[in-house]
Amino acid sequence: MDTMNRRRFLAATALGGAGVVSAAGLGMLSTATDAEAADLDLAGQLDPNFLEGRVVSVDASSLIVLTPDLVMRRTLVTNGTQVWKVRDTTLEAVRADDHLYARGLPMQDGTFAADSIWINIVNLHAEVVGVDASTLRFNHHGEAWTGHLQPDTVARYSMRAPSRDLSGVTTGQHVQVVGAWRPGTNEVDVSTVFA
Amino acid sequence: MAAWDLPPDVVTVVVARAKRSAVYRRARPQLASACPLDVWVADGLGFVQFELDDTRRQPAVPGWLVLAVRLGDGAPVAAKILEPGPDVATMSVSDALVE
Repeated sequence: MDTMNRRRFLAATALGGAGVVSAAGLGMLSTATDAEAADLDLAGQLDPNFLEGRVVSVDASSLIVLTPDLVMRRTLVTNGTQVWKVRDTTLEAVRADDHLYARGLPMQDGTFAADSIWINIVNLHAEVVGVDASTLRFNHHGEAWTGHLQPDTVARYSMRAPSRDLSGVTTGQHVQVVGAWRPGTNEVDVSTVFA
Repeated sequence: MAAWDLPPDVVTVVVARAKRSAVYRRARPQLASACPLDVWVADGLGFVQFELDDTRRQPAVPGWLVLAVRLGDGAPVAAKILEPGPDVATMSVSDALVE
């Protein structure tokens, strides 16, 4: 995406309504689904510092990622690379078929040196329809989703400091859930509930 | 980013007006830098894009704040935060003016 198209997209997004837009990362906006952005020509170049795709394989220090435009990219992971999957973790937690967002630098040999990696991260706006000790059930755009609570799942009530006390998350609330999607399911491992 | 294609005085005015807004002051602790990623002008509005600091966010997710200010009086007319969306390959857009 060139600078002008990126700016047009961002301007339309800033002036449009809140919601969800199709975008595989800020730099990979090949299409936009909301009305404000629908008429933009966003078929552009990729942001070279952002990588997105499906993990094909994992080894000790790199990942092979299949990007949406069907390019295989070797993604280099070092001790300095931050890896997130529900929580800060290591490359050992990454599996084939996970979905990856990464920020980093493209190398001259075509590999991608990652500074930060987010695995399966999702950000759901949903209505809580059920709560028990280990799960949240919620309605997300008419679909039933299950949120699996983790030992370190936290809630943020009215944007106050994170709290391990989830008792304030109750049926009927509209919440924002950040977590790691379990690929191929309507299930997510919950990192944070914004209530 | 420092190579904006605007005259320096225009950049200064647009950024200063964005930074005087309440939404900027609220968002400042979350920003990676007080220096914008990008500044541009379109249709009588100035746009300023800031990167959110994923290391200061819980959880550490990437995100951007885009502020639009009216060139005439500097009033903020829109502010949105873009973050990873509810499904892969989506971005969630939330209104930062109304928070």
